Amino acid sequence: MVRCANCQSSQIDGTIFCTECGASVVVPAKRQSTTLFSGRRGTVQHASPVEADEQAATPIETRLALQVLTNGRQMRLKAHEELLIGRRDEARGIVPDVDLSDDGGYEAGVSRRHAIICWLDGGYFVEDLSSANGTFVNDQRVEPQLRAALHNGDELRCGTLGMRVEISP
Amino acid sequence: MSPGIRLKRTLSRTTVGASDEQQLLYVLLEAAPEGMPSQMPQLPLNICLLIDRSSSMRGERLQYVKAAAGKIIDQLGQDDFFSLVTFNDRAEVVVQAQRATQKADLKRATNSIEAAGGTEMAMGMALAVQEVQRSMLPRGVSRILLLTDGRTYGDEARCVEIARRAQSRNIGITALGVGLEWNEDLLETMTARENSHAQYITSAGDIADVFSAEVKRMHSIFAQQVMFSTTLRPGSLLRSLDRVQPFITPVPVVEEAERRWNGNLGDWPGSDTHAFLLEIVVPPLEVGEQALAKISLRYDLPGANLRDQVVDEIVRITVRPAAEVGYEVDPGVKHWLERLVAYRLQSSAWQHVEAGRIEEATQRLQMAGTRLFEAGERELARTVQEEATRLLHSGAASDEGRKRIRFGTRGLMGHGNEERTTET
Repeated sequence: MVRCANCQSSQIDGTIFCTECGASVVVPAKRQSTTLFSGRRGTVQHASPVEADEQAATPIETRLALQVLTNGRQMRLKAHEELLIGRRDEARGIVPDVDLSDDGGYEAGVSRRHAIICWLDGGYFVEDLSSANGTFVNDQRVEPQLRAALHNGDELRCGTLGMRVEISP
Repeated sequence: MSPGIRLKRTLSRTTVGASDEQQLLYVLLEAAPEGMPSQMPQLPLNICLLIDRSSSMRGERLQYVKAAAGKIIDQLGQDDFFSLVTFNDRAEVVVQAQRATQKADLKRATNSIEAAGGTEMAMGMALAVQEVQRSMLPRGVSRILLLTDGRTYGDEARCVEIARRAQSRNIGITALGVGLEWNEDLLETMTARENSHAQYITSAGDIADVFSAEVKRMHSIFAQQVMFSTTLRPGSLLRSLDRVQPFITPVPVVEEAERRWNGNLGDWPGSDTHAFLLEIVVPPLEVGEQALAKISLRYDLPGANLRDQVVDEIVRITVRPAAEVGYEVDPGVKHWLERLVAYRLQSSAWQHVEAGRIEEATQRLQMAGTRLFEAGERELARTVQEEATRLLHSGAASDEGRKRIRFGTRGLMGHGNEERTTET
């Protein structure tokens, strides 16, 4: 049996889409090594107060990708100082780097400007932008004004929409 | 090469891990004619147009229907039969079943239809079946082409009953709904059998194209009475059988004997692609080459005077130690499964709406949108997302959105041809 990550129902091995909720339950082989399926990482580490004058060094070698858990969509993200997560609203000129509009972002409670991911001191961090429904790393809420570190295999959640963090060295 | 049907099967995974648990496998079964003579004789058609002439059809819609009927009459050959029945508060035979030879007379009769009154479909259905049976061909294709834009009240059960009687006598029903008022539950139920389907015509201007495409399909029928059967390995189960091309529709299967399932796949137009998706639950498997199922089609090829032809396919799979096996899924299987799952999700969403469970319904629609988006059906995915949002906010979906989603997910909207061009 496999467990559907979206609705927690039990599904027969080999199931591609959950018979209860329709979410993808195909587990890529590499996912087995991540925290999402081999146990939680525990507490969020490296939370630090936001400081305005930090030098943001652009990661050149590091590659960041996010995979939406409900539909398996993977977003490879270019090295960037700050990546906005949210839902696009062309009327208001909001075009997020990580646009969750087509992943059910609205219903999952993703704000237009929900959170940002930044590169800092050799690592990735996420910061919540006072979103209505919150940002979570491995089920721990990212407190306002604080940054939470992101590691390979972490589950990043905006509202109820979960994404798996993939950082390749 | 003797003419027949060729089968091609694709498994969701060609290799599975040895396991002491049950596993689910998906099989995409594609079928195509092979070795057919290039000049297959067309089977004679026995077609009854059953037209709603209630007052809501007045004006543009009826004009389009008349033009469409004229086009059909032009398409019919010397050996084809044509009849025309109309209904409003009562039903009337406008053209008795006859060979389509006096085309000018047939068109004149068709043009005399006027719209007035209400919608009582069952009486129309009864007369249509009567007309088709009047000239029942020993060999040929019998169809009722129903077009309606409204709701029939109080005689729904009777409509379904007559539809089933027709289908059991090999008379297929193509039900076309135009506008927003018609009852999609009823039309879907009436056509939930072989040789039948319902289709949503979004614009009255498309009526002629849809009618004409349907007659073309029927003229291209090369195989009849196609029967599916599968015998599975002990401990297995056929969880579902769905047609995925030319449109999505569940195929009712019965377990005829232990581990042996049958289903009726009807008549096959040569202009369609024929593809099916099977979900098979297999028992724990040991390492090695394992046979899972034998799939057979039995069919007649009336054009070649061949009856009870059989084609078999044995489904085998390689089982290896679990650690050596990845999770790769065949993209073709995944594509059609994605579309099928979207259809099932929206279907379950409407049931949740009926039961007042708006949140569950919204989640199902939402996920249907995701599946469609992944399958490359972006426009439909957007419609689904919009309705999900509307449902969440207002507690109800729009009539139009609901019809678009129900028929769009099945590939049964508009012309009937556009959906079939989708590439995997």
